[in-house]
Amino acid sequence: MRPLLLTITGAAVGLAAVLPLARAQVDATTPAVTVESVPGPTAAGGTATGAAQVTATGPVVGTRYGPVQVKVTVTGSRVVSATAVQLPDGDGQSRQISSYAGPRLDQAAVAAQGAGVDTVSGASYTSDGYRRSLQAALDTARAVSAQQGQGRP
Amino acid sequence: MGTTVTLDVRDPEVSPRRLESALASAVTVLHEADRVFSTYDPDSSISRLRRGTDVLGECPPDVANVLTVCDVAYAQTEGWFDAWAMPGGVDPTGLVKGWAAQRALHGLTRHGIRHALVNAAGDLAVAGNASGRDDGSGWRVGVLDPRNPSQVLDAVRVTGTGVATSASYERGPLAIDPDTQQPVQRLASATVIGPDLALADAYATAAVAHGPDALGWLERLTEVRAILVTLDGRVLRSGAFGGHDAAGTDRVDG
Repeated sequence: MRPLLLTITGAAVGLAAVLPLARAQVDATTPAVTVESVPGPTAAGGTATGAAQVTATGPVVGTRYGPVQVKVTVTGSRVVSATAVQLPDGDGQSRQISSYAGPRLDQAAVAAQGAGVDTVSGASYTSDGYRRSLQAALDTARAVSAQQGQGRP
Repeated sequence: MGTTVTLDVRDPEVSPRRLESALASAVTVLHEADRVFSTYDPDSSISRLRRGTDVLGECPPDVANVLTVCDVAYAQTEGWFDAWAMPGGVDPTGLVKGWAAQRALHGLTRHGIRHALVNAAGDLAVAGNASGRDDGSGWRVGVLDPRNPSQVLDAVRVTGTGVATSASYERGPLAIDPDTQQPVQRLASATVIGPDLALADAYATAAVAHGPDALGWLERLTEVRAILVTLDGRVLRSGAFGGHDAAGTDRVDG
């Protein structure tokens, strides 16, 4: 068995129903999420007709392999993209792992959303840093999206 | 990089005190499993057993319990899961992750949690419903396409069951050929759904070592279903999946 890393969350790749406790823990350990928001399309008279697009960049999470940072874009409650903007490249081996794992983790995060599933089997989030940055970015993007009142398309 | 375990609790009304004791119980189970079974820690019981520093009788009872599950897996997979034919000596790593996740889920349910999922690096132990309500909707679990992990190949609704995947895109423990003791990859991925996640984990690992012919012994297992993707991209299904495509997989099992 590999060394253990543990996350407690309300959602494997950040779907709805995050527990208050889990959210509190995420917030406490992951400050500094930057958010950009593009309002959804509006009808005549200013009534919103579509969901805003929110892009949140997660915090830089330090791991013993180097910094990890993830950016997600959410439309309504749907994740449309997840990208690692920073992955460890401190040495040859972690660079190789990063270039391999990064795109696959991004794909898995989006696939889970796109297919409307609660989680995916086999997506091995070996990087705790990836998950923590992703989770913080997701939580923030969703909260902002919901506050704007167009959370559900 | 280590194994990441996520505890996903969906019960809508649970007191903070109860939630805290449930999470503490699950976390204790996981850390205990890590302490006893880490092959990365030279002082873990399993490392001492492998070196011959300790004999089985000196190890915590969980070591014997896990090796008993390994015995079952060995018999059911026609020897393709062989914890004793591992480089460096006996090594139950191929199913410990699933075993620990299953027990962590029991830790949660023992404290009254009814709707939860434990995700141990892609191996899932599932209880109740993702909705958090008693609507029988289960959990919708996506099986990734190993040729393109941004696509979900199949989605299954499950509850009260385990879902284990062994795949080339994953950095989990490599499948070991019991004959040569060398790492092998004879399937692009194997996903096994069954009542016990430890065994499902072992079956998925064994199937990747064996290849498409694993379908033979998988078909004989009761209450077990499998989705195998061959190296050339064919999708093979066993159990309730046989003869069905997407239509046959959208029901709650377990």
